[in-house]
This record gives sequence, C-alpha cells and structure tokens, in this order.
Amino acid sequence: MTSAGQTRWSADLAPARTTAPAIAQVALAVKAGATVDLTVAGSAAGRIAYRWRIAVSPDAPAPCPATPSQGNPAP
Amino acid sequence: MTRRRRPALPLAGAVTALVLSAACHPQASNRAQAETAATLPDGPVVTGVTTHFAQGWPPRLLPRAKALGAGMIRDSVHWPTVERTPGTYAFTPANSAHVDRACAAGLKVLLGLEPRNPLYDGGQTVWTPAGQAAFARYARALADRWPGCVTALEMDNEINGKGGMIGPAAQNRIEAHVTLLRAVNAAVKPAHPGLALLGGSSNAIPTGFLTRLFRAGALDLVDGIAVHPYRDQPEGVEHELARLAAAMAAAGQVRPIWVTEFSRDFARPQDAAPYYLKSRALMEGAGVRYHLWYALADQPGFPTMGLLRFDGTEKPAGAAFRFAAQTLAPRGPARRIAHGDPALYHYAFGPDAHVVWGAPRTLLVRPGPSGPPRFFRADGTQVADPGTVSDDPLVITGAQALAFGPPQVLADSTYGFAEPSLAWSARSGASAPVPLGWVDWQWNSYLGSPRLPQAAVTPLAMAVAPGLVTLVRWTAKAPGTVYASACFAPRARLAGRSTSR
Repeated sequence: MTSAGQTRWSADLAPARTTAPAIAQVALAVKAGATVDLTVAGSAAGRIAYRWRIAVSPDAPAPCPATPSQGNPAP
Repeated sequence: MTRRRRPALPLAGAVTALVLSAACHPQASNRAQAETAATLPDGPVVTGVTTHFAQGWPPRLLPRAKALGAGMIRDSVHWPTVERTPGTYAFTPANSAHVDRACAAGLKVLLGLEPRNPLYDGGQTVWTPAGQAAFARYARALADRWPGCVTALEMDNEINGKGGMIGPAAQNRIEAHVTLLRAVNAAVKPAHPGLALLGGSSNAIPTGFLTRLFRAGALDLVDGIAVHPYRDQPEGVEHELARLAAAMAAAGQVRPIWVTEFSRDFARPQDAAPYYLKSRALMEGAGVRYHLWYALADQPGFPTMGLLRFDGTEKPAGAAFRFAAQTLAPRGPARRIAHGDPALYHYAFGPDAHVVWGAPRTLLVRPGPSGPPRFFRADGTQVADPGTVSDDPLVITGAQALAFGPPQVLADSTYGFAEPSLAWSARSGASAPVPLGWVDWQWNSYLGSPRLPQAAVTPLAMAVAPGLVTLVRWTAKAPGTVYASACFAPRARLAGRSTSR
C-alpha cells in the first residue's frame, strides 16, 4: 500500500447474516500531509457502532465498541 | 420503579462499506467546532448514591451507603403518601423514616420529587396554578421538616422522557416545568435560601432541550441543573458537559451541574469499577461537583448497576466507589492534565495522586518525597507498576511526576471524538462533503449538520442511511507507515438518543 493507493474493505453487517463485530486493519505508507479517510456508507436507515484508529504498529488495533446499554432506570 | 427502555431504532443497513484510503491532497478544514469554554462554579465535591428506601428497600442497606463513603443519598418521599387530605401533611415511619435514618447517620439527602398526586390535576403532572401551588407547599413542608439534612430537591424526573411528565404538562414541557420551578422557588427559597433547588432533571445530557428551558427563565429559579448521563462508555461525557455549561453561559447564568444519576448496565460486575472511576474523573475534570451513582444496590429491574448486591455484599463497583472516596476524594476534585493528546487521559487529584488511562504508551513514574509510588486498579486492588498506559484506568499515589512515552495511537475515533486530530464530514450521494459540528439535541449532543440532518456521529456510533456517506479523516503530520484499523458492530445505540429525528 502506498500513499497514493487505496484499499477498500466491505463489511456485511446485516443482522441476519452477521452477529460478530467486523474488524479490518491495513498498513498504509503515508507522506506528511496525506489524509486517511474512513468512509462509511449504509444501504438502509439505522446506526452502527464503530471505532477506528490510526496506530504506529499493528499491535494497537481499534477496540470494538462497547456493548449497548439496555436502558435507563426510572426513579 | 418502572422499567423503561429507550425505543429501539432500526438496525444498521444491510451492507455497510468501509473504505480506507490514503492520498495526498490539501487538508480539509472540516474540524468539529470546538466547545465554547464555560467554567462551572467550583466547590467541594459531593459524592452520593441513589437509593430506593421510599420504595421499600430494607433499612439494613442504609449504613452501607455511609460505609462506602457516600456523603449524600438521593431518594424520595412520595407526595401522595404524605398529603392524603388537601393541605395536611402526615409524615409517618412508613413514608419517611428512611429520611430520618439517613439524617441520623449524618448523610445529606437529595429528594427527587415527582409532582403527581391524585388530589390535584387528576394525578397527572401538576400543571394548573392550583396544582403547582399545592406541590410547592409540599416541597416547603419537606424543607421545613429536615432543615440542614435535606439539602437539595430535584423537581420531577427526566422531564425530556416520555414518562417524565404525563397529562397536559407533557404537551408543553418547557412552560410546565418553568412555572413549577417558579412556584417552588417562591414557596421554598425565602425560608430556605441554602436549600438547592434542582431543575431540568433530564435523561442523558439534552442540551438542546435544556437550552429551551434556559431561554424560558429556568436558570433564574434553580440552584443547579440535574442530568442523568447514562452512556455506554464514559469517554465523551466531558464534551457534553462542556456543551451544557456553554449553553448556560450563553443564557446568562452558569449554574452547577448535578449528575444525580449515572451508570449503565454491565455485562460483568468487574466492568463497573473502571467505568465508575473514569466517569468520576471525567465529570470532575469538566467541573461537576455533585455526582450520585445509580444505585446503591442491585434490583430486579436493574440487576447489574448496584454498588452492592441486594443482600448487601459488595460488588466491584462498590469497591471502586469506596476506594475513590477514601483515596482520591480527600485530595480534592480531579483536574485533567493536558498533554496535547486526546487519547491520553491523565487526571490529577491533589499533588501526588493520579488516574491515567488511554491509548497505549510507556509510563514512567517519578517517586514523591513520601516514598515509592503505589499503583492500584479502579477497585483499589494494589498492583505492580505496569509501566504502560492502557484502557484500564490506573490509580497512582505518592508520585511526584509522570512521564509518558510516544503514543502508539495517533488518532482514535472514541478517545479523540470531536478533537482536532480527526475531522468528521458527511455527504449525500455525490454532493460535496459537509463538515460536521456540534448539534445540541433533545437527548444529547452529537456531531451533525443542519444541512444534512440524517448525519449523526457520537463517540461510539453513527447513523447510516441510503445515500448518506460519513467520513472521518486523519491527516499525517510526518511520513511513515501507519496501521489503520476499524471495528464495526451491527447493533448500536446512539447514547441518549431514544427517538429518530
């Protein structure tokens, strides 16, 4: 992967097909001023949990998002 | 207690695509707009916990609150149980002995009050002048009965939620709440100027909702704003507290923020300890001086949130609460030490105690004059010097100074949420990206744009929709090899958001 290159990775997050988090990691050689974009597009309305990181080694990947809370207590 | 869940939004779309790209082009200027700095009133930290003795909890649990280090409990004295005949207040052991016991134990008491009584306005949230005046007289009776012990009254509960107000009041929540506050203020404050009247009691930190309340004059009538920032992860609460403080500043008065409930449900009991410690540091660092955990004990409806099990045995959350009360609280409120890296959370308590967590890097601790430093987990378990920073908060005492090695993480969408190290934008179809900035909504504050209302990003989640593309951009400061990684999960709750916009 070079600074001018691009990598594309797709995660199928359809609930019926995937229950586990989807994880991806790529190495990128970058120059000063280069930008790295995380681009998220969905095909239906909803929401996703996500976390992403830029790290200097592969040993610090983005942790998967915390599990959702079940709700709030009433007094 | 009634169990309540936020209505679920649809799950994410069938396919979500992630594209990591690297290309040299001019840096975009679409940084999330910074919060407007506003300083909350300072003062000593008051730590407490919510209890439900008014709902029948056994008195044996009360001494445990004190033993854990709570200085205040938040409970209630239900109006209909005291005023059964108009104008007559019957305080009995059945309806209020728990307050007597708490006062006798030296605890301060915050009473959360639901302004509903079958004698007035059909038992719905009082909304007529007569009903609100009756509630104000009841609040005055409470203040008269326990002066110096009941030190705060929280008017109503989670008024931005469906169940927070019922009846005609719910049709105009802002006006109904402000007129209620005005009535209580007039009835209580002349005789009890030191009693804190708390208004705006809200689920989450709904700065958009509260801003409307402030514009209607609420800040003139209260001594504090009460919020319940339930959330999946502590990080990010500091931003939302700053948004709320800024909204008060914009309205002309900055009142103390009282966090009168905070917690979440926990998959494992041990997860609650770091959650508590992080939340405490983040909130105090943001200027909060009153925070009360939910709740003292597990309950059938909320079986994972207690500091204790219902049989009274201590859970890791209780150990963390007690450890913080004994070790950190005497040193004063947390202060965040800035290192120019949002992924490094370093909070100092006094001159020699620290709480540290964040993205990994090395940690070097210089001993203080009192001897070698000591290291603890959130629950107070002493550990060896780990030599590194991790996601688990580390408590260090007896340290003169801390030194950190270079970060292993250059940007993190949760730790660096709304920070300049990343830039958020969104576009619809092939249109040009729109920078995302803070939007103060009726449930929370998030990154979005009025020009693209379907876009919404929080520290842990984002909205997706057909045609909507959300981008998070990092710009390299130096050449080298970096590792971009992402984790997506198919289910998410945008913290505090319970209805789609």
